[in-house]
Amino acid sequence: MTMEPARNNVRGALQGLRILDLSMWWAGPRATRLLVEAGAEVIKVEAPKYPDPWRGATLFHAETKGMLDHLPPSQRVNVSPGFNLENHSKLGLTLDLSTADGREILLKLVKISDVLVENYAPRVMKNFNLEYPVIREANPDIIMISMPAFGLDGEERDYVAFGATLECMMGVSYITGYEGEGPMALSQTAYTDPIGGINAALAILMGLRHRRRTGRGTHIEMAQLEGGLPFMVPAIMDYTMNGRVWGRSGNRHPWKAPHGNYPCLGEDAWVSISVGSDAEWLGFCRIMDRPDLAEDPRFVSGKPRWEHRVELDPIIEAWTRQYDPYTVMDRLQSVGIAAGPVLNAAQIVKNPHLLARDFFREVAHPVVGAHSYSLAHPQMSETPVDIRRSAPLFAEHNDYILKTLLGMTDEEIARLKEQYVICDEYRFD
Amino acid sequence: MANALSGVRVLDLTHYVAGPYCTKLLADYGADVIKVEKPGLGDPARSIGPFFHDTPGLEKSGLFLFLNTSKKSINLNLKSKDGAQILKQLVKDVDIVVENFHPRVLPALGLDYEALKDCNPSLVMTSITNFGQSGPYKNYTMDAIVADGMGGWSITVGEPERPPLKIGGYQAEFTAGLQAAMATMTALTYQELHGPGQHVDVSILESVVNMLMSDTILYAYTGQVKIREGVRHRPYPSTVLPCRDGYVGVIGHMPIQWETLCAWMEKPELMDDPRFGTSGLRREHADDLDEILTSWLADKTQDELYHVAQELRIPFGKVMNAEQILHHTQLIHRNYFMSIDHPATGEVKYPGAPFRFKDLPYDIQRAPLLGEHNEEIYGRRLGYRPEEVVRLRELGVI
Repeated sequence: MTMEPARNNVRGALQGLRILDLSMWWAGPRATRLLVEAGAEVIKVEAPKYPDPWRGATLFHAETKGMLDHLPPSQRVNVSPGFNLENHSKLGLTLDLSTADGREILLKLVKISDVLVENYAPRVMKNFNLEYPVIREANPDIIMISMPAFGLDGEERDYVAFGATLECMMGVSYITGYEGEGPMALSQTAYTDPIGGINAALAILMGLRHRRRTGRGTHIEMAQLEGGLPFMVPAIMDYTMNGRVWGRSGNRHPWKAPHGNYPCLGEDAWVSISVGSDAEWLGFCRIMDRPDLAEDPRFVSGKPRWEHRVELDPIIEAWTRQYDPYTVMDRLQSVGIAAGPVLNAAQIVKNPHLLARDFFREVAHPVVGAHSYSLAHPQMSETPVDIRRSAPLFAEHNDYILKTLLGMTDEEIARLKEQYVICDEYRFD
Repeated sequence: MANALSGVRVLDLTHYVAGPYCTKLLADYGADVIKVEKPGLGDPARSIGPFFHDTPGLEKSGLFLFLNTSKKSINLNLKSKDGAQILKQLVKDVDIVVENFHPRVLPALGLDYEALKDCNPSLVMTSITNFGQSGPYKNYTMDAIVADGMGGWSITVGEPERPPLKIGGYQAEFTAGLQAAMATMTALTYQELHGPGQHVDVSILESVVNMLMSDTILYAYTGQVKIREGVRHRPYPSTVLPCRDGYVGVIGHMPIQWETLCAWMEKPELMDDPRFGTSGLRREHADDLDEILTSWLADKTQDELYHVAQELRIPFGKVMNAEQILHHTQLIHRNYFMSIDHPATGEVKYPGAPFRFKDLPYDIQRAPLLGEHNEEIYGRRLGYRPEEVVRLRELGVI
């Protein structure tokens, strides 16, 4: 079956841009997700025997709940929530780059693409003989981006890393945790992956700008550790300027009080509160109906309030415990105090503000049905940011890409399938 | 020397962290960025530490100095009528305006997107706000701890039964600034190819939600809600444990990694231990497993563990503090940190390029002194005569 994949008639800012995406897991796919939401066409390339591991990586909850038992193995690669989120609207092609035929097809795709994205360890592209000089020879105009963990040179060039590895290296674990206790892990977010993804999307758009100006393509190196370290700046600059090493301070602010996550009415219910100025504190006392606190010399201005925070926190807590977090937010925000509920995923998807902003879009998927997916690219006034269709099933767009884009014949495609350079469905378990 | 964004002109109305990080990214890759600061104290980040040698001063904030490299600084009081007029003049001559005022501020000054678009129809304007330009919370206020909390991050960070934790530093703001730079480039791409500019609406809250690893879609698919589990994550082991000279991120959750880890520990019997048969069982018996791991780690250094683990293809993490990061051999080999000279601090090391273009320099300039480029911009660019500049200064406009 040859078909032009369905598209809305809307014109995204990046419509007409074609991106060839060899990346896997999270960081690389996040980069191309941002661009696909703004209208680019993304061709996602996966090896017949090695689908993107993200197709399975976020599934363990479903596995343990037996939610996959009714599915044939070939369909289990199509139901990962994380994969289906990060790869929505992309086109799926299977291709074994370690074969001569697979490599040749890839280079044909390079010739008709604007951007090539890869996030292998550097040795892999070398083994495929697909390093930048080869890519450039096929298409001198192309913007190629490589996303190694630690860089394309140096003794750690081929070191691999997960998000949990890089958050340790980046230093964010070291400065997150309860005061006086060990460093905390944040790897439920694999934080450096989305940072790397946004950095890569930015770098690609800058590379395209360079091409518009000079007519030349380029190779961009986005080492994920290096892209994340600017986020550590206050701690890094305090070291480089003062030799000071930041440790963990819980929810304590260096000068604001009250400041923290305070317990509320309900199970695991908390509200974040941050009081900056004395005027805000007076407003807080009014809302709590505690004129005595407004005059209490321990709390009357910023410095003593901060110094007496250990006495202050139980007072705040006694008040917040009477209310649900949304009530605390609304009352404190009414006097201009930064406050908001500590939300979990179930609460975020129902949050009235995010819903009012159309942050989630419902998309039907042929195997898993309809769900609401968040948008990663910020909204823009003139060109749509959107989800055009569900994530590609494994091998879904082989025919469109090989026949319509590359003009290959049915016979050629049949031969490639026979030799397992491409495949129709995932056959391993 | 020419760079990726050479010729792109940006008017920067931002302050604190998120907005300045956005325009720093544009400036460091070659855009011409004019930062507009209010007369007197300028960007409030100038008054936030860490300060050089712990001495406060408008030119000594490490946060400000890093976030404002490669920009030009002018003073302008947007709240005066003359100031607003001058701003409109400046807008005529740029491709991009970036601002991170509260959504009430610019409309009240007659300087919102519609007004600025009238001065420059192809303008790209990027607004970074706590909650975005629309929606019921649009006028609410927020800071870092609220952003981490509402964005769904804090509820997963910390120990069960104990308070959720804010993430160290200004993670929400940096994330939003990076998102803003990326989205600004999307809009600039469209503008350069097709003509129309547009308004880009960046919400810090949404930026934080986008850092979560599939949390909301996992809930939509399975009803599963992530909670705090301390350093112990699922599948297991994926955790942080003490070793001889610090902490390491320990990985061994995938079957091949677990097998490798058991062999490395010289404890093949663990492979057959019914408590540790799957990653789920290992999480259930994490107390037992951590005891074994911790006693094995106790006589090994971070560096030894980090490098040997890589040889074995299991990526242990080295939990580094700022001092260790500055001394990490790979980063030194890569010349990642840059020494930047500044009149108030002398040479200080800053984090360098987040990404590198082949054949293009990453040649960043020190942050501007407050109002350093008044003469250049008002005199040479806008053509004001010196006496006009004096008059505006007397009126408190600049």
